[in-house]
Amino acid sequence: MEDSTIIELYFDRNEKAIDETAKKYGNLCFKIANNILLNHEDSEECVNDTYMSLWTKIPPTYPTCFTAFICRIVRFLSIKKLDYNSALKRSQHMTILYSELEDILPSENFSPHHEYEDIGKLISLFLRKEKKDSRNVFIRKYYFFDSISEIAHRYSFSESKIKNMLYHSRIRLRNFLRKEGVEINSGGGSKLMIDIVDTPGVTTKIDYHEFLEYGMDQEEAINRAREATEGVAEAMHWLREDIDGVIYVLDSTQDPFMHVNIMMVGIIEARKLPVIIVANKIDLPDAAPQRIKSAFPQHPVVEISGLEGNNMEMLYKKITEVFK
Amino acid sequence: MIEGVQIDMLSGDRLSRMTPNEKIRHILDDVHNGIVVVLERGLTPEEQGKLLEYTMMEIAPGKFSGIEIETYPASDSGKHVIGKLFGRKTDAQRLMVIGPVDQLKMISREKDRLVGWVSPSAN
Repeated sequence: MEDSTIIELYFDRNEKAIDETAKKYGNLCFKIANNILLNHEDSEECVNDTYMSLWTKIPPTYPTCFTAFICRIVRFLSIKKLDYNSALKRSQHMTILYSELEDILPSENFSPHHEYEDIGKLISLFLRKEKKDSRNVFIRKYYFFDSISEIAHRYSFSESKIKNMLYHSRIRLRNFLRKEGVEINSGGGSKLMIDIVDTPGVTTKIDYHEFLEYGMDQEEAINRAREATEGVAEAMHWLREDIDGVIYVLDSTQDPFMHVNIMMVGIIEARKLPVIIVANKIDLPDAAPQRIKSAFPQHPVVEISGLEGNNMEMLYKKITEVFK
Repeated sequence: MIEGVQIDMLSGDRLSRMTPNEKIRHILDDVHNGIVVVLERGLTPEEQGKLLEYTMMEIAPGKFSGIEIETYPASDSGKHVIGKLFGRKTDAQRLMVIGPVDQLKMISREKDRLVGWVSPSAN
């Protein structure tokens, strides 16, 4: 049955609408839910909830693309269910998927007005510019949560090619998002539009074995390690070439006198760049932001908890002061 | 034949005759070969940045995991210790130790003393 006919059934309040939806989209809905939840019963529950949701939303909504509309609902309900389940036991499968993207997406801590919808629009814009194959693979992985082997089978590519395509898509996405302006609002009327290069933690060593501890297989861990090395190399390159100011984030529970910190601040000072030192993780019991202050008395230090959101307003205020 | 770890100590004079790229290439080539490098006069901040950038580009999973690098202030002029560390002039005068991360482990760093542990290459 055509989508438009099914939608008309909903508008007529004809219960056959749900039967036809189940017949045409039941398998797709179940697959999306099961990719997220990895549980047959929970997935069936989400699919049924999706039908209920469609029944209440149509009318008045008239979906322009019925397939996308259904997928969005089942995905939303499945993630909501996963959040509920995660309160009991976190799904390692989803944690890894999200962790692949968390280094790439803009940090909400530094973009208070950068809503999730905005980030979603940016990702859509990015995907529209991607080649068809790369776009399809990215969507299958991060929207439908298909496994690598399923995607490889669907598009007749090898699994390593799929991993490689995803790896390069993530790098391109990171570079794309970097170029976008972020508005910092100090709350006192001062605003500043900046581009943020959100780099991985700077280090002199990266061992892929450390990534294995997060449950990744060896190939994935090696890819992540490569991504991290490229991120640090890029950060150093940007610092040398094209940066107007630096927010240097330190972990308050760690020794600020580590050579890498001394070196980084030395490089920033040699480039005569304005810098704000952020003493993060002050919510932890062994945090000692005072050590950071005494280590870098010549620079402004703002104590925050990125996790709890403490003192973020103070940080935004400092950003508008120092980088204006 | 004596077994152990080779240590390459470069004098300030020799370093002053080298360009930044020559210094970095020399250090990385040594480190790749399991050699610990001691510089009488440490690298400038710009050189350290480049060293880090090139190190990242040369990391090969399972083969080369990066470098351990450490230094300490060379003299006490009465200024704050960190102020001295960060000053351009003092930076270039500091002794600096660089080695492969899987062989060199710095144990402690004090104002006037560095303590490290060096182990032979596993290969």
